Amino acid sequence: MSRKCAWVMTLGLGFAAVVNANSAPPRAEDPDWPCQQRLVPKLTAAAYWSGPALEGVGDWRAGPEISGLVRRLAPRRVSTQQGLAEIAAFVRTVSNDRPRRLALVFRGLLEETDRERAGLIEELKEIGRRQRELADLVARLATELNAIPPDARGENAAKRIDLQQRHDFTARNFEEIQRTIRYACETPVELDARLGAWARALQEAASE
Amino acid sequence: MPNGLIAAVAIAFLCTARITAADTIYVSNEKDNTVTVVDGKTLEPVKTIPVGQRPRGILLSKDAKSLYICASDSDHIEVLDLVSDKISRTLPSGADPEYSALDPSGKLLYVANEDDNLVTVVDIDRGEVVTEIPVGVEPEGMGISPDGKYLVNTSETTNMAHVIDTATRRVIANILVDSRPRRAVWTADAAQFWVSAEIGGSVSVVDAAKREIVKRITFAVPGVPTEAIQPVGIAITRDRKLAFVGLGPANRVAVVDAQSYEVLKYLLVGQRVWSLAFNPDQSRVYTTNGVSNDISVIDVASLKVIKSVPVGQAPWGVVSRP
Repeated sequence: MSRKCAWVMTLGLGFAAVVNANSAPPRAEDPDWPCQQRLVPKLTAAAYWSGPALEGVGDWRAGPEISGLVRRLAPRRVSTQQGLAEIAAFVRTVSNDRPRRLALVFRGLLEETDRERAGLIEELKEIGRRQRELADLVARLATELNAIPPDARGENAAKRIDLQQRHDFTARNFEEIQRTIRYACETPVELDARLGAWARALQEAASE
Repeated sequence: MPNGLIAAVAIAFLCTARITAADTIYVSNEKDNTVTVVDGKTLEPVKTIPVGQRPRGILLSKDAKSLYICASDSDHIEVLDLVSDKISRTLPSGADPEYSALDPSGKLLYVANEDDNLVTVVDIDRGEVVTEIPVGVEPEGMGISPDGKYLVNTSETTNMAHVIDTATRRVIANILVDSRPRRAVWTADAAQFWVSAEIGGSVSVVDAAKREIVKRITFAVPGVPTEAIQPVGIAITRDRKLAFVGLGPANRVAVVDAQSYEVLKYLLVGQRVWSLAFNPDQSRVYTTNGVSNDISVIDVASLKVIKSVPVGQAPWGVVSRP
């Protein structure tokens, strides 16, 4: 999938049809989702947690220590390692009611990470929407261009040059964005990886 | 030492020997351009070997002395010599090789070229492409029958499993499966092949003689959204009693009774579980987990995850060498 786009640029007028094939969402249900990976709309505890029961542990926002920890760790900019260090420091302060309190931290991190991730997913969908619009524009310009014979003269020749330039510019624009999508699609995965690492650390500490 | 005690010690030794089967595990790391070597006895990583760009599918040569690595972005197959742990040669593969299968004779490699809609047949000794077989859009999984007569190739976009006669090198049957098929794995008795569908969330069990789907296995993990259940890797025991199916971002491996097709258990493993491989005596299953950058070790007797071993970035393929 990744390198199909590279040869698209060389196809000139044949570009439009290919763009349509490439800009179509890769078989995901949401037409705006631009990533190869299937969209998993929500992070859920069952995919990460085999630690203490999460039901009935209470509200993670209720106490300042846990809510403060969760809010410090949740933003995207916090690295996995920073989070692990903070979790380790927190674990050292918890002696009473340890499994429940660590489960509560996980619940908070799950909820807040999911919220951050939902924001990223919306941004990615916006990129997907814009790409679809660009692809449609390239297709339209190609159709208009095809309607004018290459040996046209006078006004039509000038129109053809203008259309060709707009077509090529839009196609390049599309292509440049398309190249970055593979990397942009990794951003929700990074949050997912971070949450997984934190979940494992909390689980291990809860079972000690 | 009394006889009873000797017997007990002997049994204990045998049990230990079985548990600590001395295999070596090789894992391709897609983002690191490396292969991690893990000691099967200690379950510790012992070495990291730099290889070509974007290593994905890996498999052992017939004599188990070499590892064939699909270096997708280098557009070739690399042959890793497992004595020197160095790349000894490269083989042509066509563009973007993702996954390959080895003919039982050990002489031919069948390579899926994702971007070109081809399966490339490579003569290993001569280091030459023998032929190219046109298949569906985005070929992916490759499974060769135990007798080498048939190759099953899946195509991600066409949603088909193509059965290729390896003598004529022509597609002789197309079986429609669920969306984005990934792997095609034969049972050791050659009676069936199983095809996973990443988006369809299912595994189709195909009767190899009739070339018909006899069962469509679906999965439901309590509390996990259906979109996260993305079956990819499959491992079936030689006696066809159990099958293990990696479910991608559900972070679970489904354990399936391969006779009744009932799902017995969902084991929590690392994140985005991808490829699966048995160790030589099939007492363990290894899984690559592409997001948590580790492999999980499943004990087949107890159906428990016994360890996670950190490897490189985005582990993809895994094999175990005796």
